[in-house]
Amino acid sequence: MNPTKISRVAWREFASTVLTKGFIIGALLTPVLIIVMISLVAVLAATKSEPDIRGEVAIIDPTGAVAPRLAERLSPEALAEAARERAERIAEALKDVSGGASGIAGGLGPSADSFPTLSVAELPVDSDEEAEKQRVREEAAVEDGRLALLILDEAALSPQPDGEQRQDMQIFVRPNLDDDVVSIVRDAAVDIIRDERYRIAGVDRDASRGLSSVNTGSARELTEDGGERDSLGGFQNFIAYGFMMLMLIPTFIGAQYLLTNAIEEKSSRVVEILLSAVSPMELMTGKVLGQMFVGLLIMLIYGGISVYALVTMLNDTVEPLTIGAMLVFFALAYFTFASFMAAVGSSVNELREAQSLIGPVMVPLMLPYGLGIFIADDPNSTFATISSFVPPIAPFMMMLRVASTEPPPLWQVGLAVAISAVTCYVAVWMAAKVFRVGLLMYGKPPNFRTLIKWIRMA
Amino acid sequence: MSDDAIFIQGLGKRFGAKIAVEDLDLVVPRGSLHGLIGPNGAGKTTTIRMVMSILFPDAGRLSVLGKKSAVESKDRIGYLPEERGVYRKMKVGAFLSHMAGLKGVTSNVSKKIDDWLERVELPDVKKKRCDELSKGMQQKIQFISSVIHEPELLILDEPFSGLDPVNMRLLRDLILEQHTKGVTVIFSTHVMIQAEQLCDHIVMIESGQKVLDNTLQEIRDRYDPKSIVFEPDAGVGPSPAERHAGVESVRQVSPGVFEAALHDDADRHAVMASVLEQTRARRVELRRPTLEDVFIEIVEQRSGGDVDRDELRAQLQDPAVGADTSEVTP
Repeated sequence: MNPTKISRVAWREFASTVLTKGFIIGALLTPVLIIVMISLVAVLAATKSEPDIRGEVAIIDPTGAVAPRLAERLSPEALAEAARERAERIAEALKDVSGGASGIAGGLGPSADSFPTLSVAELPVDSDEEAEKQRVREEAAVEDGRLALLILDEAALSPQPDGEQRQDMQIFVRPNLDDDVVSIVRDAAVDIIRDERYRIAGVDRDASRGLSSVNTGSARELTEDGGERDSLGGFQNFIAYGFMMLMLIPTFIGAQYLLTNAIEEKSSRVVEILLSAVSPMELMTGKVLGQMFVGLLIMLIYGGISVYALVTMLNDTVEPLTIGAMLVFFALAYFTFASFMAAVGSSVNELREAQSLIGPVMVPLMLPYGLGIFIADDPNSTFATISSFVPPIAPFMMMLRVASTEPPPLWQVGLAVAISAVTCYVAVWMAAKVFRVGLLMYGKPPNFRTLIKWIRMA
Repeated sequence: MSDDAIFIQGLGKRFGAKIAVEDLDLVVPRGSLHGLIGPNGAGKTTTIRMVMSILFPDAGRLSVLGKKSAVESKDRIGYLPEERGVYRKMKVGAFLSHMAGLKGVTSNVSKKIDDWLERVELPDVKKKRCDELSKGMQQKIQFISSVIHEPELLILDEPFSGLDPVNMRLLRDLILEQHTKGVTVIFSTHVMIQAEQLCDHIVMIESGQKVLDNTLQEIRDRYDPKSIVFEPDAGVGPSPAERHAGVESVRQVSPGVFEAALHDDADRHAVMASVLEQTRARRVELRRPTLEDVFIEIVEQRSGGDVDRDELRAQLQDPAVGADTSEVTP
């Protein structure tokens, strides 16, 4: 094995994969595009300027106490004030989670600087409800027309009785009315009703709020090193799943590229020219290494973005040990799957013929997607423990457990590494034999029996 | 360890039940120009692949450039395989510099590529993608990739297949030039006439076995068919065979062309003079044995006469047959 030749083969493999339009668009531009899109949505949401909504809110109020105050609450000045308060509240709430995502926060609630212009019409208590609803329908397309009809129950101001549910208010609106407008109207009416109930009951509302509000802060985790941190709960397991995907996707992509590149070298008949300069083992090693660097590049791009996001937005840290474990498990998983794919690629003449052979590789590569969810939920269940020792999915499953909230004992990690290393060695050994024979075989596509024959032959 | 360029003893290789090469001995001295000939499927490519350590023999031993395997001397060997191609999407210059790099060329790579492209009359293709070139042009690129590292031993498997006559001559000159420089050249072909034009030493393989290994001159002497060809003027028939002393039989080989087989002890010049004396002829000549004749004769001897001569002859002439991909089925 000549390291210079291997590195030359690896470099060609890497360059011919990475320096293509497909890869640059697929692997490099996609994350950029995603970020641009997210920011764009945030910006659009923040600056959304809908056409001003103007119109009438009609109310049938048998209690007589709500309608007069509603006009006041829906006046432009009051609405502007309420919108501003709401935006501030949301921004405050989000700051805990995401530091500086106020752009997104702005998009979540009604915009602070755009609100509808509403007039309130109090209808007589004995109005024909159906006729008034009909007016909402008729004026659906009329500017300044009736937007909504509120019908209050006459008992709306008395407390909700125990047991049964009484409907205090019905709201009818024109089709497709902006949700923000509906909530503004509803919230205003509900708040007035609540206020009236407190007044009737003789309770000071502000005092009541002081009594019912209990602030605990979020749960803090006491870590082994004597520190403490905000509990991320299930989110940590989501991160663990992310780590697994971070090694699964590059494995998948690298293996795919190896398959197609090996087939291309074979079908273009360039392979024997290469074999005049390098041995089959050097060729395979170089190709597998080249694609590993492609995988690492993908990992670096997506992993880098993810870790950056974690650190900056969630103030979470990523243990260097976790990253180290990920690299080790990635290498083991990658070499296992990649060498198999290189072997398949070398043994067929075109991609179509490879389909029946790669099935058994694709299934184990798909399993972690599904199983991962269960394991992330309970990383130390019997099922999780066993599946993290089963080749060839052991590296993915163990990675998931290592990155979870409750990492497994060290001996289990060691055992998984040992099992994966043996699997990897066997896979590479068999693949090398198939690769050497397969490269020069043209004609009938092989099946598994032929592949096994080649392994024994070479 | 032999110091010959190639030394093979008792080489054998089988693919499942099929014997590809059997008990083959071969010595290619340094500096020689050897032709490895035989019909398709005779075992030429398998032998070459074993020499190149692409396949491994089941039996026998071999040494290449004094080393036990070509793996140890790959950078000193130039190899143009029969199954050849290029990276379709790579630029010609990048492909050649990749190949040169793989063969350990580190200095002046770009200059060497330019020089070679010039010599194969493709000066403007360096920036072109390989798949923009015709098949013949690609073949010249592949030839460059086999000589760019200035090898001591050049192995060419069916180098002429798929080339037009002009490029065939160009390639022949390039091969001869390498030979003159002292490079050991061994090339295989199933088209015997190409070997005849180029080689000084012929190795003939049939059904995995070596059936002939000699210089071209000695082969001609040994397989002298002892016959003369004559073409009488139009309207004049051949003179009866018995009129000439030493003639065994006369047969018509093509319209108006006859071949007279002579007795072993006949004086060929006397017969020719006698023919010219009695028949007005456009052409009277001593027939030189072609490699094709030699090959057919050997095959006939080996099989006890049970051979379809015409089919065999067609196989040895039609270059299109060589365009087929050879298939190795275990």
